[in-house]
Amino acid sequence: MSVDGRAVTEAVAGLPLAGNEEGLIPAFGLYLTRHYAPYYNAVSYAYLHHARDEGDASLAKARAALVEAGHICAFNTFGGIMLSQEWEAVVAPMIEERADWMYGIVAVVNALGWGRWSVEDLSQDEMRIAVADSYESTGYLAEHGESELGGVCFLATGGVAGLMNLLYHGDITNRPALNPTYYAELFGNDAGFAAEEIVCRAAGADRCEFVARRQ
Amino acid sequence: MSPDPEVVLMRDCLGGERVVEIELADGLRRDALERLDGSGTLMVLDSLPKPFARYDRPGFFLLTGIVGERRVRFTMRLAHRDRAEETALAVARELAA
Repeated sequence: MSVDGRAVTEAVAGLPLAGNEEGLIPAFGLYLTRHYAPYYNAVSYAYLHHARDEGDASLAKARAALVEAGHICAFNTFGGIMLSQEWEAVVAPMIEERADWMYGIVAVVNALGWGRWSVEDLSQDEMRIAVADSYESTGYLAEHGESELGGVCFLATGGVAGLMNLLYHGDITNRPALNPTYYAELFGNDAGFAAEEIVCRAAGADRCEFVARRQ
Repeated sequence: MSPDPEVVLMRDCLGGERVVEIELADGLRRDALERLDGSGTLMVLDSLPKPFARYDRPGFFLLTGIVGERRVRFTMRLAHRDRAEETALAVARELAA
């Protein structure tokens, strides 16, 4: 690995990520929003709990939908970041091999307030990521106490799968257009990666851990 | 005389802003950025591994690029999206002058 993750995180944290006159944050070739984590959590977990009350089938659908939100977020946000000029300025000069793209984007994520991500293991077929202080588990514990539903970090779960799909199922290094056709190619079939949260702080673990594997 | 700048990509954001990426004939120069209309704000982040430049004209467009590299990106605000390509090319010609 040739990416200096700390330097990347510090550089991204130093970028001018402030809202413009429209309240949007133009950065990484995207429009970011300064989003309130407790609000996203409140909406997600109200949905999850309502589905739980409806029965197992509804609960499974809710979980899948919340993870799908993570896939979409990863595709547009992480994919957009990896195609941006900020990426070219901050991360690309450190990249020597394909895996460096992963270490680079995880270092960028660590400047976004999602918790502290670390790649524990990475191959072209599997990735394990640990997250300390994930905002989803923090929010769940604060509002609902310990989870009786297992892991609750759905956006991160989708995000981890999305990263592998961008890098080892598709090929973000070839600068593809991030359009609906490419999304369907990466996520619309069983040929890509799926992720699961294997332990979650909201369910009693010290930290959250995720694994993404080819399906 | 430098060849004309070339539009290499154009796409619309979900919110309707239009992105135009242009390849300059030569690398982006800091002095050329500093000569752009004074109503914008220029920021060059020299501390990054590559110097990232960002010129923002509120309500009009945002220009980003890396000093020394040829590709620049314009994000045209909604009110100006219909003239995105010609505006971006005009500014790119100013940068090349």
